[in-house]
Parts: sequence; C-alpha cells; structure tokens
Amino acid sequence: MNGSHVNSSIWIGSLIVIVLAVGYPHPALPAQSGVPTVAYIPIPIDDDLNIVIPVLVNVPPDPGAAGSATLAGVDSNNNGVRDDLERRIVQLYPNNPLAQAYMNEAAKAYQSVLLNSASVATVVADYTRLTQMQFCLERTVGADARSADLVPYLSNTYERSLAYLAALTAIETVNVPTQFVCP
Amino acid sequence: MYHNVSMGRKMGINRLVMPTCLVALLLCTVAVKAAPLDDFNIYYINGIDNDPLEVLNSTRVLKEQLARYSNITFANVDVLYNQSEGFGRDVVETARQAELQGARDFYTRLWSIMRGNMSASDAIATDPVVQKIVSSFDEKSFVLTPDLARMIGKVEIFSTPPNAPRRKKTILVAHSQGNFFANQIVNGLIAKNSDLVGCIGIVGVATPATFVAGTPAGTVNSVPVTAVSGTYLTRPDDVAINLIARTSFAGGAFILPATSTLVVPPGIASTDPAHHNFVASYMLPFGNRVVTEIETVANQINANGANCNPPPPTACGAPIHSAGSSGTSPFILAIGQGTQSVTANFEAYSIPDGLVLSANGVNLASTNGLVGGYHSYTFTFDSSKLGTTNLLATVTGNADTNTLWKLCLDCNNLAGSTCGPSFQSRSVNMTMNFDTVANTWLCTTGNMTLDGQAIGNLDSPPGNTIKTVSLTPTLGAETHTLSAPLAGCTCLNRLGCIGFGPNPKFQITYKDGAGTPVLLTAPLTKQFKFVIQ
Repeated sequence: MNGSHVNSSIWIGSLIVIVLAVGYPHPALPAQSGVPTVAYIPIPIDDDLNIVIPVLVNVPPDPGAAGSATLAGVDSNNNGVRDDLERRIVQLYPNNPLAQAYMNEAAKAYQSVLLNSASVATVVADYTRLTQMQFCLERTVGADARSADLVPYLSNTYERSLAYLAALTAIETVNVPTQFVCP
Repeated sequence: MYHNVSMGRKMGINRLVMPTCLVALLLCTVAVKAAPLDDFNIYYINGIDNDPLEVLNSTRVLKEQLARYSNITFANVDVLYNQSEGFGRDVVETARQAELQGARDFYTRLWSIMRGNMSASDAIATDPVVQKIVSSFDEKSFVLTPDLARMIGKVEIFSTPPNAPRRKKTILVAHSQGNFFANQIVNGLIAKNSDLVGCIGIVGVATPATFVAGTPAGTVNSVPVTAVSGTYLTRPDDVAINLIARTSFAGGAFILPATSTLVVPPGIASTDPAHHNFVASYMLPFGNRVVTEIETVANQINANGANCNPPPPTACGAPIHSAGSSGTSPFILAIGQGTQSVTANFEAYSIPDGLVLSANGVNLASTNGLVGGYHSYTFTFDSSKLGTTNLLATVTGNADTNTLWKLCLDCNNLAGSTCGPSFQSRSVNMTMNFDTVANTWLCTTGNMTLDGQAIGNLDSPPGNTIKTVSLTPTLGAETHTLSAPLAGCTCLNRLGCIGFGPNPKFQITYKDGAGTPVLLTAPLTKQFKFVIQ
C-alpha cells in the first residue's frame, strides 16, 4: 500500500477546519493560472493516512508582517486590493468568482475609507459604493451575505483601527440605500 | 380615528412560517389591505461602532421586511445613526495598551467582537479589551452624549410641524446598544417636548437594556401623556446578550429576559455564529416577528388618541385687511380649534403707531410701543393651550391725526396667507435698455440718486444693466424722483453712428398693491419722476 491508494486513505481533513497561511506558490503545487480559489491538498502522513489541507491558489502570497507595517499595506499584484484582504475574500468565497469580484470591489472601497478618512466626500462615496457591492453580493450568494465582515481584517492594526474610527467620525449620518444595478 | 394595523397584515411566507401555513392553509388567507399609516416615522438605531455599511444594510432590510410582511405603507424608514466614535477610540487605546505578540490577529479579534461577535472570545474575566467592550453595555452611561442629542433633535424636527404636519408618530427600532439610545431618546423628549411622548414607541431587538422606556400614564410637565409603547425581541441563543447578562459590568441579571419563542428550528444555517446580527439573526429568520411587534406598537400609539393624531389645520376665519388712523382699533381673527401658524403684517409708515396681538390675555406679539415703518410677525396659535379660539389684534394709532397704518392678519394654512407682497417694502428693478446698432453707442446713467439717496449707476453695454432698490411704501400712489445728472451716450463708431441714434430707455418694474408686476418705461434723461401704485 502506498500514498497513491487514495481510496484507502482516511480523509480526516474533511472533518478538521484548518486554515493554513500557506501562500502561493506552494511547494506541493504547480504554478497555476486562473480563478483564485481554495484547493484541498492531501498530504500523506503514512501509508494509511492523509491530511487534507486547504491551500489558496492564484492569490498573492501572505504579506506577513510587512502587510501590517503601513496603513496601506501590501498589494503585490497591483489590483487595488490589499493582499491579506484578497486572500481572505478567496477563503470566504472559494468557488464563486462573481462574489469574489464584488468583495474585491468592496475591499477597494474599504481601503479608500482607511486612506481617505479625513475626506467626508470620499468616505461617503466609498460607502455608497460599498452599499452597491453589498446589494450585488446578496443577489449572488444570498440575503445573509455580509461584506462588512471584511472590517475586522481591514482594521487589523492600531493605525488602521484609528483611521477607520476617523472615517466613522466623518459621516454624521447615513442615508437609506436604494436599489442598484449590479455590474 | 386610527387604523388597526393588524388588519393589513400579510400572512408571512418565510421559511419558518411556511410549514405552519401549509398545515393551516385556511389561515393563510389574503388579508384586507389597511389604509396607509403614512404619519409614522420609523427609525433604525444601530449598536455601537457598527460599520455604516451594516447600518445602511440593516435599514434597507428593515424596510424590505416591512413591505414583505405588512401591507402598511410606512412613509418613512430612516436611520438614527449611532456614531459612537469616542467609545471606539477608547477601546482601541485599551487594546493598544494590552497589545500582545501577533497584533494583526489581536485587532482582528477586537473588531470582530466590536461587531457583536462575542463568541470570538469568552475570556471576559481576564481580557481587558473584552471587559472594556462589555462595559459599554452599561445603560447608565448613555445620557446626553452628542449622538443622543443629535438623535433627539432629528426625532423632534421630523415629528413636528411644519416639517411633518401629519407625521407626529415615531417608532424606534433599536438593535443591541441602540436600545440604550432609544430609551434615552424617550427620556430626553419627556423633558424637551412632552407632547411627543405618547406618540413614540420602541421595538427593541437583541436588547442589553434592563427596560423599555416608558412613562406611567398620568402627566409629564403638567401635560397628560399615555404610557410609551414598547416591546422587544431577544433570541435565547444570542451569544452577545447572554454574555452581557453574565457579567457585572452592565445590567447583568437584570437585563430583559430573552423571548422564549424566538427559536430557530434545527437545520437552519446561519452566517452569524453569535446569533446577534440584526439582519442575519433577526430580520431574515424572524422578520415577520419584528414586523408584528412594530404593528403592535403602531396600534398602541394610534390608541393613544388625539394627542398623536392632531387634526389637520382647520380653515382659519376670514383674514383681516384693514387700514386706519388715530384712535384704538380692535380686531378679532376667529382661528378656531387646533394649532395654526399666524402672520401679522403691520405698516405704520412715518408717523408711529402700535400693535398688540393677544389671546385670552396672553401677549403673543407686539410692537415696542408706537413705532414707524413695517413690522411682520409669525407665531403659533394653539387654542388648547391658550384656552380660546380667537386672536385679538389691537392697533393704537398715533394722536397725530395725520397718521396712517395698515394691518393684515391671516393664518398660514394650506390655502396660504393672504398677507403678502403688498406689505413688503417695495422692491424696484431698474434696467436700462439700449436700443441701437451694436458697437456704435455707449450709454451710461452715471451715478444716480433715487429720492435723494445714491443708488449707483447703470451702464449699457457693458456693465450693470439691472439694479434693484427698495422703497418704503406710502399710502396710495408713490412719486419718486430719479436723478442721473451724467446720463448720456458716446459714439463708439463715427460711421456707424450716422443715421442710427441711440435709443436708451429706463425700464422700471415693481409689484403694485395687489402684488401684480408693473412695467414702467421712460427715456434716459437727467432727471424724471415716476409713480408706482
């Protein structure tokens, strides 16, 4: 018996929630292109045991400590989305490119909130955009979709927390949203 | 008259009540549609440091669920935004002091807890950040913060005339710490505008409070009020509220008990592990229950009677338009029952006269003794508070028999006041019209005076072509003298001027005593008199 006998392996990974900060390229993975997603990679422990771990593919690498060093963070692929947020979004919606796209747009708007927290007009415009993305996300994944779940990951340092709070200060009131057209 | 809200209720067809409807199909009939209750303002009050996106989303879902589960047309669903930035900063600073290795996860967890996900930590006994957050659930601290003052102001403004002549009723739908604000808004209004107290209700959702604000039926500030209508819904499995209830930082064991019937059937998945989120854990699985509570409160408010259902403004009595001279002249404007906005315009001209406006001995407005010129007053006449339906206007004319005065008294009701332009200081527009071939003549008035007062110049072209001046009205026709000693034209193009003389004219517009625009035309001269009626 060897590792290729998958049918005889014990897939305990399916029962274990493990989110490893394993970035692309992973040693076990060939370079891939395409939709960012989560791949479930069996890791043989012995002849009878495999552990399945989720691995992000087609996403930027975990920026590590560098990602928290500045207010703006790291955007290694220059797509306007902070790398750590981009990875988080793929984890939230691993097989839904449209949901990822809406969440990426939401992440861009949130990032703008942080970077422009002193500008009331910009923050208001960002939240208008966020409201639209939330509406579109609901249409895609269901009514309980919550793009605001990004906030804890957005505001994950002292400086970012203060910038986020400053943005909240900028808007003394919010307007009730209306219907939107989804891109 | 008030509407029974439940008459218009749709039978809910969400995933939770569907089985009930299938079993008891006969109960799932189409209900009679109720008349719209468009005189309600419904406000959503968010918890502390909710992301604005979440606040917006919650308000939208509330609006959608109202439309889904109720046929009532609530005209206005809005937000009372609980900004609470100061508290957030306190928490972040506390976190800063307690910052450990791996700060990124630390702050992520902080913000997760701040968003209500108390299940992110059960280390409440030792974690200073969690303790700080939980301590925010102390309802005693929610007194007259800037947020609260702003919220009270908004409820007041949009619940009272003239902004909302028919929307005096308010329902506050509060989530989490927003319930503290809802309670304090009611308390604040009791002190500021007790008329509104019986017209406000609260529907608490996931409440960490120990009470829903209410006032015992009786009197507040000598004004009879009915108890504030209030109710609440809290899930028994709401992790955040259960955690708060176990602490000594807030209301603890005195927190309002959970709603035992608010139980999600097994097998219903949730994206909110804390079972605390307004949309995911309340409005989506229990939207019909929340709407039912809103309807219940709406019915209670309607039952409070006339205090919350002010009659539409009644037709005011015949307006008073009068003029006179020396002596005392009393006038009575029969306003009738209810509250009316009233305007009084009084023109005393050059010889001083006096005016006093009163009701049942209460002075509502007056000139400062005998005064000259124009005076205008707008005030509220409330027959119930004044104890009379009549407004008394007393004009005291000057002993000088040459005095003249003019008075107009009317309500600013839906038909509009009849006291208008004729009493305003007359505004006169003067234009110089230059009629000749272009680029041949340049005409100007030079510096002008009107009735001896300098008023500037008119040049055409280029430069000013319109000038507005105000004239104090006099009785009857007014004669005014316009002097323009430097008035004249200069030829710009000798050849072009030949055969094409300038034709400059003054055009003077004003409104006559009836408010009708009048146009006077006169040639450009160094001095002329004109008459306005």
